[in-house]
Amino acid sequence: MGQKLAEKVSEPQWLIEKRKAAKQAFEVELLPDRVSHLWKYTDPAIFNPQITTVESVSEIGMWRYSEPGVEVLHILDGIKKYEDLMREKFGSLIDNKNLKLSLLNESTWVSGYFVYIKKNKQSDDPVSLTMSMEKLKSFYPVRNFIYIEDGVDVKLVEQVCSQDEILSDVNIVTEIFLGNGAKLDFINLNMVGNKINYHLIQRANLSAQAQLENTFISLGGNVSKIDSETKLVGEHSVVMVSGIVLGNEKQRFDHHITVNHVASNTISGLDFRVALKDSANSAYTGNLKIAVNALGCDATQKNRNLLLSDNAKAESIPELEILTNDVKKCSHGVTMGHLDEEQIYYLMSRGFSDKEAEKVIIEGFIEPIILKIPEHTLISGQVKSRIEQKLNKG
Amino acid sequence: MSELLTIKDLHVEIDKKEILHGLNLSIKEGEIHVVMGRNGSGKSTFTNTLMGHPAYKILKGQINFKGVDINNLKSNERAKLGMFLGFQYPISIPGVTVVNFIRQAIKVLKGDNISPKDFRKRLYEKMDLLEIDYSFATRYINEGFSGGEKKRMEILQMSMLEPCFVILDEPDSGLDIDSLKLVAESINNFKKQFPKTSILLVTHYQRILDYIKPDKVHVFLDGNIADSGGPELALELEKRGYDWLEKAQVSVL
Repeated sequence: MGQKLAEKVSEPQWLIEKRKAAKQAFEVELLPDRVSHLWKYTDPAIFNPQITTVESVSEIGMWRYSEPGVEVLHILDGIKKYEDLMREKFGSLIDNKNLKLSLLNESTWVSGYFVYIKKNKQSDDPVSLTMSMEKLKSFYPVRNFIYIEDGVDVKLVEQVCSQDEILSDVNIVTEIFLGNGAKLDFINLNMVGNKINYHLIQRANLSAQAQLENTFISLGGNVSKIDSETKLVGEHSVVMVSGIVLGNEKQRFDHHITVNHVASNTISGLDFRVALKDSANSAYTGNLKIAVNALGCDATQKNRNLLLSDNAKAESIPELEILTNDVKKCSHGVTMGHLDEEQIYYLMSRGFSDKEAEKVIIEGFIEPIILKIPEHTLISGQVKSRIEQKLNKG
Repeated sequence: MSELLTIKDLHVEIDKKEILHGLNLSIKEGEIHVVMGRNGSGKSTFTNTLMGHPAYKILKGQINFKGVDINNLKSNERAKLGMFLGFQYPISIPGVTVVNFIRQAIKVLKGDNISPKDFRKRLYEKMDLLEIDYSFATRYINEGFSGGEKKRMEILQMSMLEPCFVILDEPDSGLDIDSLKLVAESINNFKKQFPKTSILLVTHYQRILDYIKPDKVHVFLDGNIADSGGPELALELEKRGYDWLEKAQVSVL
């Protein structure tokens, strides 16, 4: 399947070989077993689609766009234009953790974006990339690549969306490279309809003094799984991961966030907030690794869960793998609870009905993360109305 | 002036323990009543019962507000009738800014669609009176506020929401003398602006009554009003302590 498409768009030989190898490996590779901790909470078979109609995402926003220092291309055009860079880097961050599903992506991807931010960038405007799925019963394998040169800073807002009735599967793999002292403020918005199975593998690699603000806003999907790993390979690099999950009806979310402190004096912070209505379900795993030679690191994580119904269920699994004795700080905290009755009473004493009070509290709970979306934009309006719709339902 | 609030034979329990035992009280439009009493005498049970806290259960008796039996009304329905409770321990709502909180409250209470500009102007005027820094407008309500800041924030809400019946549960506790004066002056200003508004002020100390002149003072003892009188009763209490009243009760019995 992958090979046929590849030939059609005349891919470079090395890529054709890569796809061929991935396809062969995919066919013999088994789905990960449920015992491995990445798959304890979600059946991987959900993401191995039986659908064979492969589709490209529709591109909305700033695709195929360039201005001084900012280049946004279709991934294939990026591969062709920057072939040397891509031969070296493309796929280099993809490990074997999620092998079957990354092989599936590697052999079949047909769309995705390529973002290259260069030192001569002038504009401070955020770059917005929206991927829309518009066909019923299709499989959307998407491959993205972000490369940011030394010392540049940029904000990227990535949105994956679809109409509510679209029943399809999506498998996204995104690689992010940050040069020395580069800064990326990255927002991933999962706004797909509630019938889509959403699987995202995201890998980021930070050079010395690079900073990544990585925000996940997960609202959509039937089953949504995110497997994100940031490697702090350069000294004094920093990653801050924040996320919200707002689940309703029977939605399932499974977020697996790993930060790997490879170099010394690196800093990470995780703040993940989950609010669940109806019989929605969430598993959050926050995995902090500090390598044996990574000295003086600072790693904190918080996971807060708000259960809004008796049938909603949240699991929180903080994991610490610290192989060094020299740690500046390493902490984690988890809270799990229902709405606070005293907060509801306080709000009701000011005139809010119990439903309105509940809404105010949930909006407040997710507000610090929502604030990261650039205000007064089309996207912030869309996110707000989706949240509104989810909170008002039921 | 007509009756605003009439309470008859009020019995209230929490966690299956009766706290208020047959309380009677009536407050007329425009009056200021002060409730004093020891810790545990039932003052907060009383204020929370008035505001409709779901944990407090009315066993017997009646609360009539503006001619409506409010025994079974929810807190928000009472707020819509014009009741307001300034909390003894104001609750923080993380992620909700002061400005949004008050604006939304005005909207649900009055359906007002005051323009954001006019709203801010009014808010800043009231904040000036209470010497609250404007930066508080965009802070999350009560989150990380000091005790005194929380108390002033309650008064700010009162003056923005313009209720016709204000219950203030120890607005003076934890305040230094300057803050106490500010809070008291704001209450007086509000009263001057809305002379028909009635106030029920719960306090431990006579001090706030140097600024606010009550029409009536009631002393709580073991879940009921043990004595009522004019402002002189507060002075007497300050001088002689609650023991005096307790002994007086015993001697009457």
